[in-house]
Amino acid sequence: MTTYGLNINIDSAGLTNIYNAGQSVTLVKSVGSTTSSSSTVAWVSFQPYLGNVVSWTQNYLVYGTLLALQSGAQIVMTSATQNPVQAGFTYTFKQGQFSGASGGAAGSFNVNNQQGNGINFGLAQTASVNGTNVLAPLNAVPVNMNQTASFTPIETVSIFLSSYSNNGVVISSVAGNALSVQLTSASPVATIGFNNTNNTFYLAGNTFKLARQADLAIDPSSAMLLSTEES
Amino acid sequence: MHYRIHFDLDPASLQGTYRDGQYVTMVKHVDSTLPAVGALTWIAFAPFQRNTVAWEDPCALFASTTRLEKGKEVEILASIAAQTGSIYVLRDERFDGAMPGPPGEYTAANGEGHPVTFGLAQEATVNAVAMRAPSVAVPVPGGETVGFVPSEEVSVFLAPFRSGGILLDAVPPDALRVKLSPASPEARLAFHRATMTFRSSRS
Repeated sequence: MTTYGLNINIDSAGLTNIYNAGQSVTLVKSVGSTTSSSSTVAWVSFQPYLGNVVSWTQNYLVYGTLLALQSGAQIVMTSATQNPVQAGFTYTFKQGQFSGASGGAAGSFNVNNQQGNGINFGLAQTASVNGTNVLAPLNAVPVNMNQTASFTPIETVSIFLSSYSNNGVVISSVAGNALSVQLTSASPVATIGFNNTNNTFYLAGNTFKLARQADLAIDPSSAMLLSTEES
Repeated sequence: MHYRIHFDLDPASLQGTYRDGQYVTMVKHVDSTLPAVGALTWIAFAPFQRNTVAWEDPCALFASTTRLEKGKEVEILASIAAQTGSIYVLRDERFDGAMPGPPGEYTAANGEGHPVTFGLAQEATVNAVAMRAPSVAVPVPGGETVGFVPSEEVSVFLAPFRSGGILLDAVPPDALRVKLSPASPEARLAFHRATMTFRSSRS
C-alpha cells in the first residue's frame, strides 16, 4: 500500500513567528461527499519543528457523532468502525454502532443511517505526525434516518497556519492562503517550505520518499534541516 | 465545577442493550427537607460505543402539577434558575424573585392554595447533546416550603425508559453508585455484559 506524506521544513525565524503567534500547522484533507452540507474539518493540527514528517496510508474508518457541527468544535467520534472500511460498500449504523456491510456506490465509502436523526457521519484516518500516530476525522456531514451518504477521499491536502491546536476540529473554511498539494501514487510525497515573509507554505518539490526523522541533520550555517539520502 | 462520567460499550453489549429495549439511565441523588416520592430518572439515553455525560453545578427549581405515578414523566409547569441560600415562591403558576433563605439549600415555597410538586432540574450534555430534566420530585402542601441539597452522587443502570424525569419506585439494587466531588470530578465506568450492569473503573 502506498504511503503518502509531506516533508514540511520551517526555518528558525519561521518557527519563532509561528510560536509567537500561537499558531499551529493545520492540514485539511479533501473528501468528496454526496451531500452539500459537508463541514470542513481540520484533520491534523500540530506545533511544528524545523523538519516535520506527516505520513498516512489509505485506510479509513467511518464514524458517527452527535456533536453539533459548529465552527471550533472538536469532533468526538462517539462510534466508529472497528476496522478499516472498504470502498464500494455501505456500512449501516444502528444500535449505536456500525454493523455489517452491503453493496454501495463503487469507489466510495457509504454510510446508511438506521439509528435516528441528529447524527453526523464522516471518514477518519490515521496520520503519523512526527512519529506520533493520530486518528482524527476528515469530514463531517449530517445524515438523517434512512438516508445514505457517500464519501470519496482525495489525496489533496491543504496546508496552512491556524489557531486550532486540536485534531478533528470543525472549521468555517480552509484559509484563503492555504497551499493545496495533490499527491498521486506515482508522486506520493511532497516537500513543503515555509515563507517567513507572508507566513504561507509553498511546494518545494515532489519526491517518492519521506524524510525520516533520524535522517534529518542540522546545518549549523543556516539552521536549516537537510534531508539525507534514505537507505 | 465540571463533572464527567465516561463509559464505553463493546459491540455485543450495545447489541444486548438495544435488543432488550434498555437505555442507560442515571438518577442524581438529592437531599430534601420533605420526603421525595420514589426516584426520578435524571438522564436516559440510547448509548453509543463511547459515551460521556457531563454537567456543572447550576440547578433550576421547578414546579409541576403532574400526578406522580410510577412510569409517568414529570412535566415541568414552571421553572427558575436558582441559587442556594434563596427562597423562590410559586404564585399564579410562576416563580417570583428570590428572598433570603437557608444557606446551602435551594428552597421553594408553595404560594398556591393547593399541593404542588417541586424539585430540582439540572442540565447535562450526553454525548455532546444538551438535555435538562428533573432530578427529584417532592409534593408540597399549599403554604409550605421545601429545601433541596443536590449531591454529585449518581446511580447508573439500564432501564426501559428513554427519557429523564420518569418516576421510579426506587433505584434498582444493582445500580452502580458513583460519587464525584470537586477533588475527583471525573469517573470512568466499565460495563459488565454478563449482568448488564455498570462497574467502577479507573478514572
